[in-house]
Amino acid sequence: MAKYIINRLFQTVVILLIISVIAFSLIHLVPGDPVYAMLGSEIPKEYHDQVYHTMGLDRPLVEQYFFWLGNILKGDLGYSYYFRQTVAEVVMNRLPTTLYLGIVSAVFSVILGIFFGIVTAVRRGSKTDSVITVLANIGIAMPTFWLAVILILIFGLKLKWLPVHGFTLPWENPVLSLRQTIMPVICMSVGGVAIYARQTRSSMLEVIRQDYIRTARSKGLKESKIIYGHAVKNALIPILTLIGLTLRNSFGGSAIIETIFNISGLGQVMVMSLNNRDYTTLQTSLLLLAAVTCICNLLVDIAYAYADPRIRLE
Amino acid sequence: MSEHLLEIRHLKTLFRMREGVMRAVDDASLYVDEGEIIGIVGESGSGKSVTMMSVLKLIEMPPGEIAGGEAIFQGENILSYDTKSSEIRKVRGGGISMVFQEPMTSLNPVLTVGQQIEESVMLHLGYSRARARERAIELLRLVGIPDGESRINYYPTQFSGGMRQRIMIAMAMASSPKILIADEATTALDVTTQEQILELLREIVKKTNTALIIITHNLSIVARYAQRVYVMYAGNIVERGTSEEIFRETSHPYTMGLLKAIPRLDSDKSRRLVAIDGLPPNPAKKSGRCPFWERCPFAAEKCSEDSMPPYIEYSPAHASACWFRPEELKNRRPDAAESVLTKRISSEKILELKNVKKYFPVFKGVTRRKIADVKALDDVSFEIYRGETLGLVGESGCGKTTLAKTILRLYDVTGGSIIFNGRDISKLPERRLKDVRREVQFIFQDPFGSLDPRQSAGSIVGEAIKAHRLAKTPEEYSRKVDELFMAVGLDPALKNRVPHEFSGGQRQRLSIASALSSEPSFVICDEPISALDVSIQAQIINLLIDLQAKRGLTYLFIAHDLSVVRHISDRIVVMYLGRVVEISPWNELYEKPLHPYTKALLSAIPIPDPIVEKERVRTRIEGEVPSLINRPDGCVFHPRCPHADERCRRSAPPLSDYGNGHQAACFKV
Amino acid sequence: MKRAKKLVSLLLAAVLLLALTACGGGTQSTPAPSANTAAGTGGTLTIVNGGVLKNVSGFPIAGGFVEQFCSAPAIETLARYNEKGEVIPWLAKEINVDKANLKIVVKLQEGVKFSDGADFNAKTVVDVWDIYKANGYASKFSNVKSYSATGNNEVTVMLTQWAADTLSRVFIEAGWMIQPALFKQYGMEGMYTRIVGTGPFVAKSVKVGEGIEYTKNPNYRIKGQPFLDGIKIITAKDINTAANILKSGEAQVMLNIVDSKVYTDLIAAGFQRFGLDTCITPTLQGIFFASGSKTDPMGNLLVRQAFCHAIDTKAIIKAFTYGTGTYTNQLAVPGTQEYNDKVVGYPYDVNKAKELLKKAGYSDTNKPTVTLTYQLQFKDIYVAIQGYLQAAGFNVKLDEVDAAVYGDRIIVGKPTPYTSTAQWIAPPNATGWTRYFTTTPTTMVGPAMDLKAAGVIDLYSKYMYGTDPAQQKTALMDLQKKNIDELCLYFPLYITQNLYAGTAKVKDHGIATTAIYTWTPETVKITK
Repeated sequence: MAKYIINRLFQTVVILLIISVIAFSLIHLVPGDPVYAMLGSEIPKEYHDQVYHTMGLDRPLVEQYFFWLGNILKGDLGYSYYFRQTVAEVVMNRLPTTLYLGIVSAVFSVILGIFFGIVTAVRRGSKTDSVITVLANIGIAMPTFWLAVILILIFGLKLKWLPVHGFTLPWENPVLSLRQTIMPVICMSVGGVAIYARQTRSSMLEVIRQDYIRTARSKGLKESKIIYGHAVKNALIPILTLIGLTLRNSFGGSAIIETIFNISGLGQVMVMSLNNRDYTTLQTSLLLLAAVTCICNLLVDIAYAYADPRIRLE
Repeated sequence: MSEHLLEIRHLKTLFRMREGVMRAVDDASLYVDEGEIIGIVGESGSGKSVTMMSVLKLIEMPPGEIAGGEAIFQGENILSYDTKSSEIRKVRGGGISMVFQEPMTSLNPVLTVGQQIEESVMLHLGYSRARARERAIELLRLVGIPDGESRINYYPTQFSGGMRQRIMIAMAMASSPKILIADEATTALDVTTQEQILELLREIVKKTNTALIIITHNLSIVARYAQRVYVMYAGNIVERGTSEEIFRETSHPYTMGLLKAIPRLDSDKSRRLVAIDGLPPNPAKKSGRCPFWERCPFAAEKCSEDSMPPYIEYSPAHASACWFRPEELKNRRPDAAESVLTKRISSEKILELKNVKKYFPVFKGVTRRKIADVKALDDVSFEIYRGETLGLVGESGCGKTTLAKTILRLYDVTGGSIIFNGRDISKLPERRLKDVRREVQFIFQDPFGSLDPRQSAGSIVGEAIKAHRLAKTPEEYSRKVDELFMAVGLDPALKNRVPHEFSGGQRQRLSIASALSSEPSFVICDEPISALDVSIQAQIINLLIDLQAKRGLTYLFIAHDLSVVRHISDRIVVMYLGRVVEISPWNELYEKPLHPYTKALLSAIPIPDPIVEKERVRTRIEGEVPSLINRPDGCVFHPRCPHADERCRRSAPPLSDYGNGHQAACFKV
Repeated sequence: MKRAKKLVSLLLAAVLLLALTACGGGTQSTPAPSANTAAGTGGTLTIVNGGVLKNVSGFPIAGGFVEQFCSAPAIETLARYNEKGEVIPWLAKEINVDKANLKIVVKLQEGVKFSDGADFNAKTVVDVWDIYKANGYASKFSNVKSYSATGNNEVTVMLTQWAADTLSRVFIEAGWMIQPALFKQYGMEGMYTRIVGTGPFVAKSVKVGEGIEYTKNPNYRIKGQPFLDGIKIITAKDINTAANILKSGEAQVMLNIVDSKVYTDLIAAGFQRFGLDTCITPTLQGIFFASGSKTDPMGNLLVRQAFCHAIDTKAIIKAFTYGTGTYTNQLAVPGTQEYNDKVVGYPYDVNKAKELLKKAGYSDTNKPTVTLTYQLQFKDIYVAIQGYLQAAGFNVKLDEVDAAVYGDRIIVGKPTPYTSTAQWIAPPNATGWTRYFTTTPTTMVGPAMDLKAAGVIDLYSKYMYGTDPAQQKTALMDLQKKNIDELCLYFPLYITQNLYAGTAKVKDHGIATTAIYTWTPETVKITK
């Protein structure tokens, strides 16, 4: 098991190195002068040259790469000319927001989704099943931004029940935080609930047909114990993969939701830095996102090994 | 309400399917007393499993439905309980437990063995977790699993099939039930493991006075273990009685037919197997008359009447549902030629294996280094004479399937030579094998999977004719195909149907026809009948024997059922862990086995005659078949052999001849 | 199992219901601009930017108009524009130019302090100007020989020569009075989070890329002002989001509305336009020509004129600017001092265009090929222009580029200048033309054309550096006429305003009444 983890860690590092090369090359692949692109063509020449030198753009390519990589490993993620802060500050300022929204939506999706999945599996063929399945399909097909706009229109503009922008952490102002986050969280979770519900349902249906469920029933166990004690444990193993994906999404942030609801999060950072040619932030965000994805994958693999003894004992 | 522990009265269970209403259990009545062992025997579709599952309300309802009847257990009619009620759940696992057929999938893979046993204990006995754990360890000891304290935390995947079945029994016994039902519990296990499990069950019955209901299709098992037997056919109980009464004073034509159709280890082969004609009936199309009517050789006018025959009672236990008594039965369709067709065995060798070795390398680590070899075949030597049938037996892992594939050159040999018709085919390049492939054909085990579902039957059968250009004109081709169909007993008009439109037995006939189409001289049959019902097995065995006599074929017959192998073979090779341990002529195998393993194997196989069974001297064998990776040094069998000594541990005994062609690889003969 | 499920769903429903009721009825989430009955004092004004704020800093001179707008509540300039566009003192008390136009004496207000307690006096002004000069803004002092503090509250400026834009350049553009000690301590980068000045508001929090919160400066030099308790400027990630925020009432003013569709929607929804057409520095959209090119057809005057006649500017304005564009035939806002009524321009006339092309020697089989270089967000307009040109007999290639490459095309000294035509976004205020019509231009106007020989540079110098207002005016008028009617040096399309919108409740804001980035935060009131 330990060897397995070490192996995967090693692979992760290799992947990240490759991505770092790509991230690094971004700044040089785009046509035009990067500094003018970042700061606008109106700036005085002296300023331009100064920034050019600070960013190390006048050095040879390979040296630049190691210089950049070395800095990142030391914790110096660079300076963002767009945000006028170090990239580290930019990220850390927005991390709590994104984490909070992401984790709340993820928890929502997972719990509600799995719950509905179990319900529809146990009541397969009934009206409940049909209704929930249809809703799930709608949830998957519906674009997040469309839902967001509709919610804003109804609850924000017409009824004026909920604010249409902003974000506050719950310990600063619980009521305001709740009111501000209801709509974004709903938008971010709807797709997730639907996906989890469908996956759980099909997973459960397969498990319920298995011989060991028949054995459990023949032991005289209560139906609820059979479902939750025996079936769900097996059915949830493939759900772990989904959770890994969802985790990654919560870190990446939902750029669309953040734009529509005017929330400052990490998803936004990537979009803004892309639009404004903020190369330093862009490079670091790319690397960060890649690192998060790899770690989430690794965690899922490890979780798998713990959840399914068959994998662990190989 | 009843003097018995469990009494089922007039149970009717049906399944409402799209094709119609399937009457799976059609008025069945039976009883069990405390500490009794009874057997319920029947083929697939007879309703034997459904009967007991209905009692526990374990069938899926819908589409299943219990249309009538009572099941009185300890004074209460448990059929009246609601499916999800706590009363029926108390009975399940608490009063009546079941052990199912598939040990590999019947345990929850993500829970430890201990958790699954403790669950039952805590539910039915109300113990605390700690006490339940102690009981679980006790139970593991009861079923013969050592090191209970540590093993209790293992997961099911860490146990072998036989062990898992023991765990299932432990789980079933956890709450000290009054009745234990073993539903085909040993069908999926090796012969020796099967014996161990059944003996275990018998011991448990003795120790705990639990009643045991053995549900099986294997009459021989019932002969050895059961005190009373119920024979089911198409949802009805056609005969019931004590073991002796059923086997010695058989009254129902179906039971008679079954007994005539199964081969016995101790028979002298003068009597041909008598198959039961026809196919089991479709449960959706049951009429009100005797279900066996169409296939019964004694059918009379009375039998076609639209009412069920009543039970004629011959003794307090023995009754038969037939209009006639045995002495009144007149055979309308005399058994087809009782004599065995003579075949000629020449002294010419058609196939000779010399020191054949097949090793599979095991790679490990990132660099894929080879760390060991799995010796699937280790120094295998024997010969097959033209015109004879050589039987090959062994349990899982012995290498018989590998051997078949190696002969066919589906694997390349790692060492040794295979000489076919005088030519060494082990080294021939691929393109020269075409002739060989024409001469050597193969019949598979699985009649479902081995036929192309999209080809018509005629085209499957005729494929080899085309491939080897054996027909010069389309008419000749067509004629040959028709001949083949008729040779295997199929109507040529069915040529255009696709495989899934045939029954299992018919599909196996198609496989045989297909094998014969290239006019081979040598046919390898790999477990050709184990997937078929008992009454159909006899048909296929007879067919194979006839074809051999008519066409001068040579067979290599591979199976795990020693009774069948002995019946069809002239000589028998016994393999264990990749080595040949004994080669014996058929008539000396049962009478004079030489190798300890052969003796154990024979002991494990029951004979369908309870009186003979009681008087048999049997050698029990301990332990399980080890995996090929952990092959013992020296004699492969020595860890389980009661006679093993130092010499056996150090060196492998060679195959020595003890006269009459009877060879064995043992120092202690 | 059933019961458990019912319970859970009930619970969920209850929580949801509670949450919604907790919202209360109809109140807004952010502190509302609560109107105070006492003549509209108090309250917080929330301004949302129709795009992302960047580079707002305590160093406003480095910023664009949005940034300067956002710094204005805290930092004041020495002078301001009035409605006529003249420079009048603001933070300074008096600005006196001597007769020779070479000496300016500035008298400052007394007793003014920065919000961090530091004194504001003549030394401050000198320090600030030193900082500007040393950090890349020496161009603001191009004609300044020297300056010094000649009293505690008096600064004297000596010029090398007069230029028309001297006052606006020195006292408005370079007149942002930042706290020099802060800059010395924290440097340029530190100023992005420190907006400290003498203004009516104090920056409470500055979140880069997100917004700024200002609170009332209790020690503001004008007693009784400001009226508001605070100003909140938030950035929106997207212009539609910003519009939503305005519509939901969570903001009262929206600035920098670059999408005219959004603007028209807001007007239709009942919001008002803030600002006047005639305020300084709106933007002009136009097209540069390679006026002096020997290789490109655009080097030929007739071809250029044909080009201008071929395009129906008024139709373009109607179709693409949703009515917010103003037609003009020259580089000036109609109705202002800089506009020359006598310029004829090139009205839409396809036949004339074809005629001119023929005269230039082109025909159906020999069409002139021109390349239109433009920034990709203006694609619609240029595709339309392409249509018009092709109808008149041009072969048109579209060269769509992004901002970075665009800069490479039109900035002097870049390796890949435009050689045919390029989109042009310019200020229609003559003082902003130093980039084009000087001997050391920074942006290319007519590559390869000898502007000096054509007399353009002289005319402009006369305007910029002349001291006689009448002469300056004549020179400017002549310049307009020459550039359009005589040389066809470039082609103006239309003037857009940088738009602001808001609710009528906001009064006395002065937004975009004098110049596009100025307003009067000290007088803003929110009424009921």
